[in-house]
Amino acid sequence: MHSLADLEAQAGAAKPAFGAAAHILCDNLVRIYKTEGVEVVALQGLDLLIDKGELIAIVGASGSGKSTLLNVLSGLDVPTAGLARVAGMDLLSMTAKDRLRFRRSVVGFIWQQTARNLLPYLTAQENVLLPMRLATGKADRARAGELLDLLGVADCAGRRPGEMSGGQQQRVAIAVALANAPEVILADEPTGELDSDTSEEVFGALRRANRELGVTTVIVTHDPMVADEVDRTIGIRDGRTSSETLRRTSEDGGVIAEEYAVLDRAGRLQLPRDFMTALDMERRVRLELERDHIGVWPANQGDEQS
Amino acid sequence: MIRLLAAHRGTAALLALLTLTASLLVAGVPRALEASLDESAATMLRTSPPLTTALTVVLESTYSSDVPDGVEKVTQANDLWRAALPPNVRSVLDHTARFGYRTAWLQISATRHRYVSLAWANDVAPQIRYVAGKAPGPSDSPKRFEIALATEPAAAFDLKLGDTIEFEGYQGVITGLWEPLTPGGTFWNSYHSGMSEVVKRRPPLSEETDLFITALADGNALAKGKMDRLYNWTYQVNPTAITARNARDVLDGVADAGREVAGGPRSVSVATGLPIQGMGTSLVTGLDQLIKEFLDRLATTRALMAVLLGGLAVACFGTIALAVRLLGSRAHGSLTLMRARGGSLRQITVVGGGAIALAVAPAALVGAGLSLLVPGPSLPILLAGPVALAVAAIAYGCVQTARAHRQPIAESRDDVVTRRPSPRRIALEVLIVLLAAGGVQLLRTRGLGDDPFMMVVPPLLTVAAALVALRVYPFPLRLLLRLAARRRDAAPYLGVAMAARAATGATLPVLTLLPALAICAYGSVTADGLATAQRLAAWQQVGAEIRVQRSEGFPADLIERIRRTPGVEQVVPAAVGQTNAEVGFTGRDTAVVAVDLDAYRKLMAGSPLDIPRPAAGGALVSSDLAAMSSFDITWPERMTVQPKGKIASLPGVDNASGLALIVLPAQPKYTNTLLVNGDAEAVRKAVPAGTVVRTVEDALAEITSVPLVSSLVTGLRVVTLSLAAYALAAVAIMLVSGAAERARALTLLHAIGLTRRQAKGMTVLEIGPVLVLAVLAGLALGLGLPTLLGDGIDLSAYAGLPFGDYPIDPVTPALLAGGVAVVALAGVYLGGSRAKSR
Repeated sequence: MHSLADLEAQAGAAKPAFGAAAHILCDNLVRIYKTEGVEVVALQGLDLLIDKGELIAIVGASGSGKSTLLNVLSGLDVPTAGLARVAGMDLLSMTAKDRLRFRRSVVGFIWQQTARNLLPYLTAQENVLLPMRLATGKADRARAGELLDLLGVADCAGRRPGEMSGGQQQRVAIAVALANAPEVILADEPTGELDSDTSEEVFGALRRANRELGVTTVIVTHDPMVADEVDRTIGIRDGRTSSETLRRTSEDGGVIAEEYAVLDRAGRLQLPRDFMTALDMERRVRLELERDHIGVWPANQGDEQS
Repeated sequence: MIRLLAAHRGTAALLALLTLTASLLVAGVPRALEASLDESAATMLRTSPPLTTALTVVLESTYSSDVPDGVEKVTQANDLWRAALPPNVRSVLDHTARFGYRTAWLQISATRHRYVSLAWANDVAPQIRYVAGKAPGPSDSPKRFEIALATEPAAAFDLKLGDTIEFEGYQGVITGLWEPLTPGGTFWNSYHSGMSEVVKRRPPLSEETDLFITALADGNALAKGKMDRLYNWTYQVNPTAITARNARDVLDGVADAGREVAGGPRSVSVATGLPIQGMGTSLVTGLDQLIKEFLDRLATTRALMAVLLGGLAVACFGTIALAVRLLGSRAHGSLTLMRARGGSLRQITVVGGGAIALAVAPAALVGAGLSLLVPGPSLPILLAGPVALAVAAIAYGCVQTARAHRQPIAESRDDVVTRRPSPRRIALEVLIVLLAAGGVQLLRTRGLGDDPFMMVVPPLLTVAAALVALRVYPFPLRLLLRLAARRRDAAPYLGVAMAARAATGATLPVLTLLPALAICAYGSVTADGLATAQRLAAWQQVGAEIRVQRSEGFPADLIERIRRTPGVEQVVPAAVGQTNAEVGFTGRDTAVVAVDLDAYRKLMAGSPLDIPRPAAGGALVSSDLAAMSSFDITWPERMTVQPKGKIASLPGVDNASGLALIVLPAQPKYTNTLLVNGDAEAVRKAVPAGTVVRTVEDALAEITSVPLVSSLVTGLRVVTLSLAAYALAAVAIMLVSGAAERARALTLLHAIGLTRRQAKGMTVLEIGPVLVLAVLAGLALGLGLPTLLGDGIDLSAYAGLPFGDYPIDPVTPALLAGGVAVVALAGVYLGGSRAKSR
């Protein structure tokens, strides 16, 4: 039994803010591209929480806002509204200098196109050294060697991108992203241009970096193999997080995947499109609060007419 | 930076090549021009009479009691006067010492119309040889002198060694007779003209001729005499010392020298060291007038070259900027990656700008170095062109890089719809157009002069025209789009649509192409106009294809013989001379031409000149005689002239120096000039010795061989062709810049059935509208520039007659601009095919 004073104290105590402990936090994130007479809303109130050291995948249809989200998280793009925080840094209120520091030492980035990640006229090692040079002016060759070794491409150190396979290039790109010991790695379809075997290698390299260096890793992917290999897969639809799939290992060693719909802080919920189509749900639905769940029914004929 | 450049070495090499040639042109052409300006100044000084170019300090003893009293003082004064001249004049003088003094003309007693002057000059003794007697010695009386005469005047006056002549109370005893060591030449014809011969002069309205001789006397004896004397110290100019750069300074110096010599509070006597009042001293020179004329011509040349070089600089910079942009777009991916990997804007700008600097700076230096091979003066200012080009290119590269990478975002979505131009940009464009319009108005009223703003006006005008053309461009494009949309074939529509999409990227190409073509057309029009005007001037000077003159006249049989000479087609006899029209009290000096005007008109048919029709029953006269009902003349025969019509000038007759003109429209009784059509060589062989044969070609060669004119024309041609080449380079870069995007679009369209032919057509339609717009607008502006600039650039000095009195011939510039367009479109057509095949 709580005394009244306890209850009052409990009510008056400051609650931890939403996602205060999260390593990556997006709250009601909005990104609108404005051009003459046309507005493209790429993110429309997206919520996302990722803990430190997590390895997650973000999936979604083309144009759903995945790449925009990644650009925002990497500090390459500035959101229009909402809250975005990565490793304690508020992405909306950062100055240009903070943003530069953020890109240099907090995040690392890997693009889909293998050729786009590396400067074609530098060797693998020089490519890894480049971010160090840009950030500090110093080149830590030992660290570059370690990273290439960790990712299994130590033998490619002296080769230029044109002399490496796609998988090797992507693994060097991961090393480049890790060069300045970032807290977060963001990869935009890193296996998109690779065959399945090579994809596995690259994903393996990412997972190794995640596990051994403890770096939080966010992968945007279409690749079901990748999506199936991570602990958590977040689905994005129309600029919002729509679903989350959690994977856990069952007692018999099998992987159990459970898909959840995402409920945002305002209580909004996206119903899967095929559910809506199957029950012919349009415009309105009827909700009923049951003891341990909420029932959702299509509006009946009378309701529709009213 | 070096690796980035090495990765894009093709583009970097193009950028370097463009910078090199541009530097060579902007440094080399002015250098060559300066050399020819200097050469022109030297030629002007060399060919002018030495006493005209020299500065002569004259001291008249009549007005000054402060005169040197002997040879020693005169010699000292020479150094003092030299030292008293302003340094900017002193520096262009040679070191020849030439001074002396002479008495006024004194009438020889017991003679009429015979005068003598006693003279001493420091430089005569080494140039003469005594054939009898000896040089004059000191005199024992201030009224009696020993004198020496040249043999020719002595013979003319019938004087012998030992004779004594009396003149105005003085006596001269002839102690020597001399001959010039080298008769003729500058020394006797110019510095001491009349000293070795008898000078004949006929005073106005006098029936008899006065004869003048000079007698040499001992310097000290003469200085101590009581006669009025005229002292002179002559300072000769070194012809190569006056250049285009120091001419104005020298002119100011001559004016200062004039004031200094004429005296003033600051002056001291150079003879005695005492202050003088300036009475009796003066500076005599024609140098100032010569320099003024030279400066006028210089200003015109520089103005014209400023316009052309301004245009060239705009075109060069535009093309280099296009190449910089191309290099920027090629390096965009690498720089974007560096930016995303943590490169600060400053780092990226340094890398991007540094790569451009690596390509541009050495090329500019090499270009400037190569320009040193062009003969001409080494001027630090000539380095300014290449340095400015390099700095502008690097600055543009830095700004471009900084703008492209200001935000580290890899993708931009501004392809959704084109952005409206910012108000700032519109304001800037309006400002440029207003400045250009105001500048043109100022230029028409004030001329180019030395005002830097004025020199910027023509290039600014071309830039303003380009901006206006860009604003107008969408309207014809829309029309074209509508027309293309009606066609069944989709390719033209797609091509024009691509052109419309590329419109925002067309700014720099149009800003480069239009000024290049405009100035190219202007240069071509000017060069053609100059050639036409020079030809016209040659015809004006000669008055016929061949003009044959003989002071003794042409007897009828000689005329007949010339007429029958094979190769001679037509001969019109004429009398050309001067007389005094008996008008008013003193008469009016007038040029007279007696010629059969009908025959003359036939002779001149097909020439660029018009010969007036004869007036029935009378003569054609210049307007200052036209009011008379009749008056008499004495040449070619005594006759009464009845004016029946007006004439301003007649080809081949120089009446510009204030002479009136009378044209007697009849075959003359006395012929001293033949106007001939036919073979000049045949005429030369047919005429007796001493006959002057002058052809239009001779006159034209004289006009065009003046160093300034030939180098101006060469400069015009070089700049015109360079501009055409730069225009082509600009189109090529424009084509290459859009190649990747075009190839993507064409590959896609090819996949859905676009044929190779259609692809080529589409590429032509994509590039064509901008090209046609720039060519047409550039050509129109180039042809309009002579009219727009009006009297701002007056080329009369080169043409030998008022410039601009001829119709503008658009053929050559149109061919040039059309050529550029055709070559460019052919390149585009082939380029389109290559893009497709990728």
